[in-house]
Amino acid sequence: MATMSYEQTGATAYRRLYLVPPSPSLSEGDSRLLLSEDTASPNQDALFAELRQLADEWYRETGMFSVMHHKMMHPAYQRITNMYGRSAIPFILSELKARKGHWFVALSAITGENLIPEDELGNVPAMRERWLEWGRRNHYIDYRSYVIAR
Amino acid sequence: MLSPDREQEFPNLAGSGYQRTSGESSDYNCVAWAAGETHTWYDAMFPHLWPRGLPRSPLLRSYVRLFESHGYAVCEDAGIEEGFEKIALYTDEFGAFTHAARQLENGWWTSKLGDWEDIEHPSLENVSSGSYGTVAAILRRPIESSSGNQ
Repeated sequence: MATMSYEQTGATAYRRLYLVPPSPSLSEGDSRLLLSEDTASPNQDALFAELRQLADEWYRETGMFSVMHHKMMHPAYQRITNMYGRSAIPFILSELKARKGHWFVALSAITGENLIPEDELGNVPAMRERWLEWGRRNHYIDYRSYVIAR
Repeated sequence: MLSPDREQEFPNLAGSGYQRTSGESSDYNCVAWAAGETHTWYDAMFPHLWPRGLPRSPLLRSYVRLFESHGYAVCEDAGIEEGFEKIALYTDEFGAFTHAARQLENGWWTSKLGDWEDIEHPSLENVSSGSYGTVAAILRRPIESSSGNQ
């Protein structure tokens, strides 16, 4: 799906989009994908700064919503999911750990993974831990310098 | 009291005498809170909890059916009625569910504001006209059949 900006779609039109399609994410070979303490580069810092700005905007403007179809249709959430794709995973996981936001729909859309068993649906701490464990297992939670900087 | 930036999301809240009654939490939402639960995020969007067999739709009808599965039935009047507890469901201009509030014994209402805090407020209008739209349905259930109310 082509990513639409908030200005392009208008303040209300985004609410009509109820599905997040699979992300045309950045390629596996993207140099920003593999983040670790030793390989952090200016590009990676810039990436995290961009994502931080979008995430802060999303928290600020959707924190009052209790249902995901309103949270996930926010342009910032759509941009993180659809423009940044897999390169956003380390950032999203660090957010999941530090700020406990609802990133589950984005993570599933980006990765294609459905990690949550039936008996844990809606159990947010358990869902969070499933994804953090997935991140550790797949070496996405290595960017210690970023975590320390926060 | 909520912080000023949060309070301004609800144009009819300031000056109402509302009270903040909890810290913020992303572990449960207004739907769970209205049903008397604090460990679940009910949401039509996977991977959150949703009753088996109900369509995962963001529209009001689906949320009415969710509450019907908790023993509620649609009624006409939001006033206090002996022997019953009541909830109010809000929708946006597109008919999508936005919020649920639960009536307290004294006639006030309690609302979980998304990822933010719980509040108690004198009237349903206190959280309408902003992000939550307007009240679209009132439901009630006999107090005897409630389970785990907070």
